[in-house]
Amino acid sequence: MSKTHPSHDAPQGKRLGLLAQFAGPEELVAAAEKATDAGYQRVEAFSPFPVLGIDEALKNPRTILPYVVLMLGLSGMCIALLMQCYMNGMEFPGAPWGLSGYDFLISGKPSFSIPAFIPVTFEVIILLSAFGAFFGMILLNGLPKLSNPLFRSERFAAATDDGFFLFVEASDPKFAEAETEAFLSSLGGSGIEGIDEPVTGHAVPGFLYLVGAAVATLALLPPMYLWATSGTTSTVPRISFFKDMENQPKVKPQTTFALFKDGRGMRVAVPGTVARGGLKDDAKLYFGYEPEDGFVGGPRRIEAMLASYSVQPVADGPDADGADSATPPAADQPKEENWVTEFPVKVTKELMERGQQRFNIHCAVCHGLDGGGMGLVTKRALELEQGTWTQPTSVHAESVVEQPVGKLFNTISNGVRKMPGYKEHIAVEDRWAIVLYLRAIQRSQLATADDLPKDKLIELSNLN
Amino acid sequence: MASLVNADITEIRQASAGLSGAAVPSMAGGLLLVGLAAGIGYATGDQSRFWHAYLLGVMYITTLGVGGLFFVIAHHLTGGRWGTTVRRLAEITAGTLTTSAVLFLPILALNFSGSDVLYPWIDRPMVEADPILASKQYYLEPTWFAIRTVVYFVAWIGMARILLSASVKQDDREPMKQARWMQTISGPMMILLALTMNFAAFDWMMSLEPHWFSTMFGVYFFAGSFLSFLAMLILLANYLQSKGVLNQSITTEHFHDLAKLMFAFIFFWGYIAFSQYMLIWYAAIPEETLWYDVRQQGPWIAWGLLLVFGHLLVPFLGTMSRWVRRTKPLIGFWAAWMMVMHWVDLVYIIQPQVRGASALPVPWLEAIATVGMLGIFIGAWMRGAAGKWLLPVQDPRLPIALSYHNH
Repeated sequence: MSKTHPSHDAPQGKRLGLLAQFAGPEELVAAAEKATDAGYQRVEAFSPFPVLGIDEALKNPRTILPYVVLMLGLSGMCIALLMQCYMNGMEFPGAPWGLSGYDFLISGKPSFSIPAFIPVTFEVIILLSAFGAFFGMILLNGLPKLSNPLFRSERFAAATDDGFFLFVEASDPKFAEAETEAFLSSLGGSGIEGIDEPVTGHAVPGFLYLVGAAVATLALLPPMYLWATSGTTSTVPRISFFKDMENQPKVKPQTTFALFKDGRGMRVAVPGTVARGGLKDDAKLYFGYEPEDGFVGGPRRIEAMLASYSVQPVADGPDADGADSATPPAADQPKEENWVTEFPVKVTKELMERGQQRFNIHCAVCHGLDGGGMGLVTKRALELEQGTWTQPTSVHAESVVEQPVGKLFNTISNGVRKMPGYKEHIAVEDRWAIVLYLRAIQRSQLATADDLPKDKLIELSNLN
Repeated sequence: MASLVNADITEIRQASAGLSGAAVPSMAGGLLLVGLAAGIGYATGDQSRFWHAYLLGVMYITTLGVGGLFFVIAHHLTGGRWGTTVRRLAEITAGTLTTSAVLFLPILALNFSGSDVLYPWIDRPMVEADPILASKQYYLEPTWFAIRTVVYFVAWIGMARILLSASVKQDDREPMKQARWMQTISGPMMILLALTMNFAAFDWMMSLEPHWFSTMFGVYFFAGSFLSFLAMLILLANYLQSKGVLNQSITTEHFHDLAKLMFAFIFFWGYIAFSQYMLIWYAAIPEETLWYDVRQQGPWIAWGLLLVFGHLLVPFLGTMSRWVRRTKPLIGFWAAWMMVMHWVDLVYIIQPQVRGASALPVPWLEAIATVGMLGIFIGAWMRGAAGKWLLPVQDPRLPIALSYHNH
């Protein structure tokens, strides 16, 4: 860049063209029309506002912008569809860098489903078309352009106010300095002046570009290193920006804490404490069996629990934290005769209906609505040949039918084989309701003629 | 182009009063065809199909009329300029709603006769026994249905008459005052039109499957309605110009604009139709999916695909080019295409509800009924146009519209 502002008198570069001013929009359109009619091809018009008819007068070719937008829109469609096909409709297990795709069943829809893909496709088409229109317009207009040689004409500043200009470029095949100047003035142009290429100062030395590129590249290294270390294993602690957030002075679960005598961060409840809802005093209701010594788990369980602590508690107490926290160990399984055989809750029609509803919500997906063991999940697992799947035992199997209600209740609460326990999900009364409903569907499958009311029996025998 | 001075006008701008008489053969022929369809329907014992075809025909011309009414109201409401040259054509089209109302009367009579061949909810014991329909029994009820239908038509005909008479008055005196008056009333009219169109769509077509509901159905009806009107207007302008009518006033620019609107509404229709489909498809609730389930059996699958391609994708690409929009025969072709597709759309909405029809037969009965209705519609249009200026000659915006240019 030269230090002094170049003026008209300064040494000039190559001639770029001739600029002529016209009185108003009509004159500008007429002049442009005549100039293009006379065979000039590289003519530009400048006006403070869009002048109607100037495009036709300049005989500019129509812009290719619509085609740019169309092409980008079509690309958007292809990109969006391919992206979704790959991400939703395919899966390559074991592919590196999280590129495996995710073929996941959503709402029972096929993993490759066009209707679900259309909204995203539509949005991507709009996005890319808008980008095409906006950036295409900017690029096709030759923007960004920090300076234009025309700005060097003082008169030209009026183009943003009340000036109407026509510029004939020197690169036009018909351009000839003297004739063109005479022609422009014959059109009514005033103040005709030649516009020259600015004389540039020293060019930026080439090696500076190299240096800039190298610095920019090197600047990327530290963040890339941080990013890389955050996802890999290392023998040294990883670099951390927010140390006080990552290491906060607080006691976390399952950690030591020197302030307490026993050194444990987590505290044991004071003996005799009963958690809310933890007083499970009716063993029949809460556990489904009659313990020999009055409460579930027995003293042995408490002893075992205490023995696992490094420090002896101050005093022995009854099972205070509620026996809800653990499945009775295998050794603690009650004897067969201890299972409750009568419902510890009042059997009513409402309870039966509640049981049916809860069963259909919690159990039927695997066990099937009839309890036969062919629920939707089971069917799907068998269809996919999932080797890890254990098909639920039919509730109509003799071994299940023979079980006392307490044992069924225990199975629902604590699970069996692959089946998880449901005591956290289903309230005690609801679990008993399900057992009641189980009894009903068992009976429905194993009914005999004697179970039918007399009139129905007569009706049936009449059918034969 | 500067506005025309009287000496330059070579086009015909006024419809002859004799057009009224010329309308008679068209109307008579139309009635004859509808009668023929009725005869065939009753002779073959397929009353349900005939009445659905009849409703289809009435809906076809009603959508044209309502689309025209929307065009006029929207034009006033937005202070539109370019559309002034075709405004009178739209006003006359909206005027045909009177004929649509008369043609709807047999359907009301059918409902009152207690026959459920068209609307299943006429069967009261069935409605009361069905838990879903029981909750709709006070809405889907012949008398209340008839009252609503009358309200819709009275509102539409009233708005069409008020706007047409103000516009005709404008041809003689006080053009500024009339223009302002029409602009003032167009706001409330738009609200009234939106509400009535919405519920009319629910009542007349959605209730053919009374279990089903779609809150988008009214918009769907509107999209098809305005689209078919635009197509009709392009065809009409093309035809009139071939007879030397308005061929100076309606320029390439106006065709271009109408074609742009048609292009936009082709996509709007697709957007709404797909939105309605996708939400129901995704939620998969039985009482919502049953409507589409019926339409995904047998030949209706192909009919639905015909809509996807013929009503959306093909014309969307076909009318995308500026060159096509500015070439009258080409845009005329696409307008005719869209009018056929609008019919295909209405067949898709109405005909699968025919009781006892498992598969789509060749829809010739439907075609006869619709062509008959179109004959009546054309007759009604000619009667409406007779003796009137086909251009709001004194409208203050007309000079701007005549010299209008697209960029």
